[in-house]
Amino acid sequence: MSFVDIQALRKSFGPVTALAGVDLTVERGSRTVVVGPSGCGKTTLLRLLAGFEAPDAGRIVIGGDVMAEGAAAMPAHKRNIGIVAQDGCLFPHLTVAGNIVFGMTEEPSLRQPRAEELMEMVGLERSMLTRRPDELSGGQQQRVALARALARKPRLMLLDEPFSALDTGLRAATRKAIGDVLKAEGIATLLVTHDQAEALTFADQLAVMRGGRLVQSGRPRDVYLRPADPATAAFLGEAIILSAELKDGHAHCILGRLPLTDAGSLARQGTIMVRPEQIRCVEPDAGAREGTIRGRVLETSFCGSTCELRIVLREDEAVVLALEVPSSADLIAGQQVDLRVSGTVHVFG
Amino acid sequence: MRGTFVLAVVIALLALLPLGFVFWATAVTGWETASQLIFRPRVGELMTNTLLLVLFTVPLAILLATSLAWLTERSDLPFARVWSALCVAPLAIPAFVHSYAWIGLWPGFHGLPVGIAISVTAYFPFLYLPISAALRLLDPALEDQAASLGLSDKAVFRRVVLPQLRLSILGGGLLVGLHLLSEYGLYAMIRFDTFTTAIVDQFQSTYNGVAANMLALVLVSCCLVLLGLDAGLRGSRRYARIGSGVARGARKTSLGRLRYVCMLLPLAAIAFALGIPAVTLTHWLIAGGSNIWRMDEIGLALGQTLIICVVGGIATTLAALPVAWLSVRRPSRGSRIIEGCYYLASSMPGVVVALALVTITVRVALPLYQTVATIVLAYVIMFLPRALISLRSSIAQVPAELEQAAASLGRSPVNALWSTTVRLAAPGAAAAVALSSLGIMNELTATQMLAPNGTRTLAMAFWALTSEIDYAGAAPYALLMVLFSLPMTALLHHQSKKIAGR
Amino acid sequence: MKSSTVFLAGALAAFSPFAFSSNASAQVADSLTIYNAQHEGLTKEWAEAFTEETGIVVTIRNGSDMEFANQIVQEGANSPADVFLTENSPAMALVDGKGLFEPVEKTTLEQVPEQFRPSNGHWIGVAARSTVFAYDKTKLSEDKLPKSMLDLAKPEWKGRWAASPSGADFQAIVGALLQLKGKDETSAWLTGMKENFAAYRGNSVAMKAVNAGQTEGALIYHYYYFGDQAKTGENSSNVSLHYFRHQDPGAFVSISGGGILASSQHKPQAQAFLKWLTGKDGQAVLRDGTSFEYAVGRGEASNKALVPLDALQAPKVEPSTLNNADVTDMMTAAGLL
Repeated sequence: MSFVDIQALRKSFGPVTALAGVDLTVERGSRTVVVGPSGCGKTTLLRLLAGFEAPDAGRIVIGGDVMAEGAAAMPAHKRNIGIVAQDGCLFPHLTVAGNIVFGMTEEPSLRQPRAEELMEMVGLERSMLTRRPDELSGGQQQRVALARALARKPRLMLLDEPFSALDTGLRAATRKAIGDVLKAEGIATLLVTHDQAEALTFADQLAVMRGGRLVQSGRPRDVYLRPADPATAAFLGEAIILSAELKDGHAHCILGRLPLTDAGSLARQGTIMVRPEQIRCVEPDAGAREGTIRGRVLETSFCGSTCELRIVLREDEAVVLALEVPSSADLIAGQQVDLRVSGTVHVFG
Repeated sequence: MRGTFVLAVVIALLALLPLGFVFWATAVTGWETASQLIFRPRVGELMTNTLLLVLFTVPLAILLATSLAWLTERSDLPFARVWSALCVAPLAIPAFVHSYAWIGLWPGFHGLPVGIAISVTAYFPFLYLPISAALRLLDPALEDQAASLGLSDKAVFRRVVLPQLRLSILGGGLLVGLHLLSEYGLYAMIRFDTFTTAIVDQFQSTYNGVAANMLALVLVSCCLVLLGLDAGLRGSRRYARIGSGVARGARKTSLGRLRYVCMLLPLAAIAFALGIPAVTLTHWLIAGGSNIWRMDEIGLALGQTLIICVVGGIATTLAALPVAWLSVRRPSRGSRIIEGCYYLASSMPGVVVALALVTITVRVALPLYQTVATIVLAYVIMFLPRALISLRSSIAQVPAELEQAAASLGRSPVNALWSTTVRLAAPGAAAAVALSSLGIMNELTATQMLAPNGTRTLAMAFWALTSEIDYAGAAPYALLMVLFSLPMTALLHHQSKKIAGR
Repeated sequence: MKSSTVFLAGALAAFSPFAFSSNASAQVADSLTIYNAQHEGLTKEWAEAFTEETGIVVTIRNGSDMEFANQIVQEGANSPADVFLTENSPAMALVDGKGLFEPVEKTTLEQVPEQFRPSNGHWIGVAARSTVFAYDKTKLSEDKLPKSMLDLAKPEWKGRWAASPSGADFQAIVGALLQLKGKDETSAWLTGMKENFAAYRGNSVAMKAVNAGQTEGALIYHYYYFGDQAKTGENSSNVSLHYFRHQDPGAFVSISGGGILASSQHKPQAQAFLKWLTGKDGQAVLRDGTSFEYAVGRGEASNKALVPLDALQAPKVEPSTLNNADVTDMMTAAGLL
C-alpha cells in the first residue's frame, strides 16, 4: 500500500465544486508535484491533506492511519503534517527562534540547540535566530518556514507554492536547497504549483489537475511526452497540435510522415502532438528533395542565446509555427527555410 | 511645506497648554502648599477609588470585549452581524446617560461596584471595536500554520491570535482607562468620587483654586502613568503582515450545541448597555408625557448643540489637517513628535483642559475669555486625534503623484494640494468632522466651564435637570443626544475597519 | 429665540477680528447678563417676567455660588456679568470684600427689612431658606431626632445621615456655625461629620436618598421638600422636616443675595432688575411659584405651605461677614472636599 492514499476525494464550497473525485497515491520518501492552472482544486487538495478543511466524501490515508473518511476528519494539529505556505507564514510576533521552536515537543532545554541544528540544515546563519521575520528576505523566510515545519519531524511535507513569491534566480536556488533537505531527511513531499517548469524539475511523480479532477499522473518525462489530452500538452509546454492520418506506424500530416511513439495497428484519423524542440530549421537545399517541408520566416525576435521565429508553411499558409532556434542561425524575416522533424510524435487517445 | 510644519507646531503648542498649565500652577503654588494639598487623606481616598476603578474596569472590559469579538467574528454564533452592530451601538449613549438609566431602575445604587459595572457597560465598545476589526484582518493562514504545528484550537488562540490582538487590546484599554479618569457625570450620579468629580467639586466651591489645580496635577500624573504603561507594554514592534498573499476568509469555529447558550453573553451585554437605557428612557418619556417636551427650550438647546458641534468639528478637522498631511506625505521624526504631542494633549481630562483655559484666558488672554473660540480650542485639544485618524487614512489613499501632476501643470503647491488631495480626501474629512462632533455633543465638563454666556447644550440641560432630580424632564435631552449620535456611531463602526490596520 | 440670537452673535463675534469684548450682551443695547447661582427655574421665571415688563433682554450663565464669586474676583474690572444672584450669603460677602459691588439704590434697599441685607448696602437679600433635618418618618420618631445640629457629629449618628458638602448651601451652614461657635468647635464638628455622614451630590439627591431609606436623615434646606410635595411627592413621601429652632446653628436661615457689579456697563438696567426683584412682582414669584423659598420683601408673604419665617427662631448671623474661604479650607482639611 502506498504511503499516502487518496480515494475519491470530493469537496464543494457552496455551488462551486473544488474537487470532483480525486484519487492519488504518494510513495514513501518521494516527491509528488500537483500542478494545474489556478482554480483547478490543487490548493483545496492540499488543505484537505493538511486537515484545514474536511472533505465532503472520500478517504485520505497516510502511513496506514485514516486522516479523513467522508466528513469525519482528524484535526490538523493531530496529523503531524508539515506545511510551508506561499509567503512562509511566519508568526510576525515571534523571532526566528520563536518561530522554529513554536511546534517543538522536546523539553525546553533541548529546543535551542535543535533550532540551531535546523538553521544549519536549511543553510541559514545561527545569528539570524534573534531576528524578526520582517527583517529577513523572502528566500530566508521560506527556509525558516521549512525549518519550523521540519522541527516536528513531520511524516509528510506539504509545500504550497512556496517559491512563487521569490525572484527568478532565488527561486531555483531555494527550490534546490529545500528539495535537498527533504530528500536527505527522507520525508515524502507534496508540492503544489502552477509553474510547469518547477513541477517538471522537482517531481518524482507529476500529477496534473484541471477542473477539480486529476487528469494524469506519472513520471514527469512520461507526462510531458505522452500527455493525456491537448490541454495537458499545452499546459506543460509549447505544443504543436495537428490532425493526421495514422497508418503503418506513422502519422501523415502537414509536417510530413512522422513515426509514432506508440504504434497503433488501426489506420484512422487522429490528433498528434509535436513539441517545437523536435523541429529544426535549415537553409533550403538547392535541389529540393521530395517530402521536404518548406516554410517562410514571418517574424524573428532576438532573445539572446536563442531566437524566436514565426514560420508559415508553404503548403498551407494558415499554419503558423512558433519555434525557438539558436540565434547563431541568423535567420531573417522573409527567408525560406526547410523544416526537419526528428523523434517520434504522440497521438492523443 | 515649511509653513505647514510651523502651523502644525503652533497647534501642538496650543494643545499642550493644559499640561503646561498644570505644571506651571504647581510651580507657582510652591512645594510646601502643594505637598500639603496633595499628600492628604482625601487625595488618598480619591487615589484608591480611581485605582480600583481602573484596575477592575479595564481587565473586565477587555475580557468582555474580546469574548464578544471572538463570538461575533470567529464563531458560528447565530445573528453574528446583528450582535456586532449592537455591540457598537452603546457608543451612541453618553456615559452619564448610562448611569442616569441605572439610577432610574435602581435608585440606591452607588459606589465602586456599581461604578465598575456601569463603566464596563458603557466603555466595552471602545475595546470591542478595535479587537473585532483586528480579528477580521488577522491572516487566517497563520492559524492554519499553527494547527499544522500541532496546536489545538485553544492553544492557537492563546499563542497566535491573542498576541496579535495585543495592540488593539492595549489601544482600546488605554482609551477606556483615560475615559475612566476623565469622566464626570457617570460617577457624580452614582456618588462615586474620583479625581475628576473632586476637581469639579473644588471648582464649584473655589473656581480655579489651588486645591483644584493640585488635584489636576495628580489626575494628570495618573494619565501620564497610563500612557507610559501603554507605551511600555506596546514596545517598538509592529506586527505587520509579512506575506503578500491575499487573506482567505477566517475559519469560523463551530459552537455546536452551545450555539444558543453562547448567545447569552451578547444578549446580557446588550441588555445592560442598550436595554437599561431604553427601559429607563421609555419609562420617563411615558411618565413625563407631553409636558416634558418644552419645544422652545429643547429646540434652543438642540440648535446650540448642533452649531457648536459643527463649528467645533470643522475647527478640529482643520487643525488636524497640517499634521495629517505631513505624517502621510513628509513623515519625519518631527512629524511623529508633533503627532505624539496631540495624543498626549488629548489624553488630558476635559476638566483639566477647561481649568487651564479658564485661568489662561481670564488672566492673560481676556479678549478670548468666555468666547466660542476658547471652547472650540478646548474641543480641538480634546478631539484632534479622532479627526487625525480619519484624515490620515483618507489622505494616504490619494496618490502623491496627483499632487505632483497638478504642480507640473502649473498649480502652486497650495493650489495643487487643494485641487487634488483635499478634494479627494473630502469623505475622510467629513468623517473627521462627524467623529469629533460626536465627542463634542456628549461633552459635559469642559462645556459647562467654558461655554459662552447663555449657552445651553443638550448635555448641559440634561445635567441641570438630573441634578434637580427631574429625571422625566431630562429624558427628551437624553433621547436627542442618542438619536443624533447614532449615525456618527455607525460611521465610527465603518471607519474602524480601516483604522484596524494601523 | 432671543437668547439664541445672542449666542449666535457671540459665536460670530468670537471669530471676527474686531471682537475685543468677550461678552456678547455688551453689543446688544438693552440687555443684562446674570451670573446665576440660584435655581435655574426660579431665575428663569424672574428673568422672563422682567423681560416681559421692561423689554430688557436677560442672558443667564448658570453655575454655583462660590464658583461665580471666585470667578468674578478673577475677572475683576473685565467681568462680563452685570448682576450676581446667589443662593447663600458667603459668596456675596467674598465679592463685596474685594470691593467689586456697586451699592444698591436706597429705594431698593428699603424694600427689604434690615435683617435680610448687609448693613453697608452693597448687596441685597432677594430670598431666604431655612436649614432643616429632613428625616425618614418611617424610621425616626420625633423623640429620636437630634436636639441640635451639633449632635450629628456625635458617635451615635455614625452612618445615619447625609449631606451635600460640595454645595454652597451646606457650606453656608458651616459658615454660620463658624461665626456662631468659632474655629475649634467647627473643625471638631467637621471631623465628626466626616466619620458619620454619607456624601450626596445635591440636596434633592440627598432627600431622595432619605425617602428611599438609604439614610435616616439629611441636613438640607426646607424647600426641596415642599417643591417635591407640590409635584408628585415621589421623592419625599416618607420624609418629614425637623426644624432645630432655639437659635441652634441648625436653625440658620440663609439669605440669597443679589448684587450689581461695579464693572457693569448696564448699571441702570441692573438697578432696575434688583428693584423689581425685591419689589411686589419679584417677591410674588416666590409666593406663587414652585420655588418655595421665603420671600424677604417688606410686607411680602411667603408661600402659605411654609412654616412662617418668624417662627423659625433662627440664630442671629451677620450675612456680610460669612467667610467661605475659611470654610472650604477647613472642609478640605477635614477631607470633605
